[in-house]
Amino acid sequence: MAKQETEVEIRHAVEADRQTLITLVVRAFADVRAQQSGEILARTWAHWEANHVQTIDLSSVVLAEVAGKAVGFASYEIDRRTRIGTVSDNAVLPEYRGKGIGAQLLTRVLGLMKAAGMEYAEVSTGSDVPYTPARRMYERQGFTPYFRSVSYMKKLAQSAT
Amino acid sequence: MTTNARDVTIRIAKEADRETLIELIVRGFADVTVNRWREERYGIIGGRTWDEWKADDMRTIDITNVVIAETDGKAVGFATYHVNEKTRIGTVGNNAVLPEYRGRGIGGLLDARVLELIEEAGMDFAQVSTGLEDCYEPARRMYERQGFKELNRSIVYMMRLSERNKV
Repeated sequence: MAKQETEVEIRHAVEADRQTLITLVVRAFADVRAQQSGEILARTWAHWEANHVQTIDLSSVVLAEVAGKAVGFASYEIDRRTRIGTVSDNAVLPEYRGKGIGAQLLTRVLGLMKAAGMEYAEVSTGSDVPYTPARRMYERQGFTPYFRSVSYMKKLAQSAT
Repeated sequence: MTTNARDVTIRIAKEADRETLIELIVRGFADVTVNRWREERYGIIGGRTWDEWKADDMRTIDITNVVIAETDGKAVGFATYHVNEKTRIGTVGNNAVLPEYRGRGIGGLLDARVLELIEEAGMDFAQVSTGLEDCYEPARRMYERQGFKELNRSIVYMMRLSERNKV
């Protein structure tokens, strides 16, 4: 499915990539996250994403580059007790989507998990429209859905905003 | 620290409650836990059954983040939470009431107490996730009644890495 006209390099992120990664995460998530966060968190989602990347362990992040430019990333976690690897935040810049870059990132992450001794991979994504390509990508790799969940938020009385 | 309503007492758990809570989490979750369905579908995870994993959640939690519901001196339900000082979001974690004590508002009392504790800890928001299957309908109704608003819906996927498709 990936049209190989786009030359993509997938590599491990290093410390020098951190600022690039922050910019990338905020830009790549802008269209899916702002909507998902609803009115309660809409103002600050970018702040929290950036904050998360500021402290993330970069050895669990892979980057996709096209012509030396970072255009996508995927992160993951491993749990040696359950032997479940979890695919966490991952995204491709809007103008680079539809070229199979996400799938290449995912393939690399799944390979790394297996190399780390994981028996299972788990991933959670949105069930609404912006996440349709993500769901299709996971299903194509062999993921099967087993649980649908809903998250709720409540603003507490003392909250100033 | 103790809330009385009808014949139910809600109190913060102590270290001495831990064994009781381990039994309670396994029994309280037997019919609703996603860990169990996951095991039925994908096999035993990490060499331990779902109830051993659930027991482990309770074995390792900071006991001060657990509230317990008692009636006639017997523990019949519990709720756990944790707070994040950075985001100022408190999260309601595992919580359950024994099947034979459901439908009496005990879960609602536990949830209300947890929300108070989250607020007392200086949090601005409370967050909780639950399932969309029918068995979670009472839970969803309870959260909505407490003022929770839906944030997003997710699908959780899994696979055995040995069964991965070559893409």
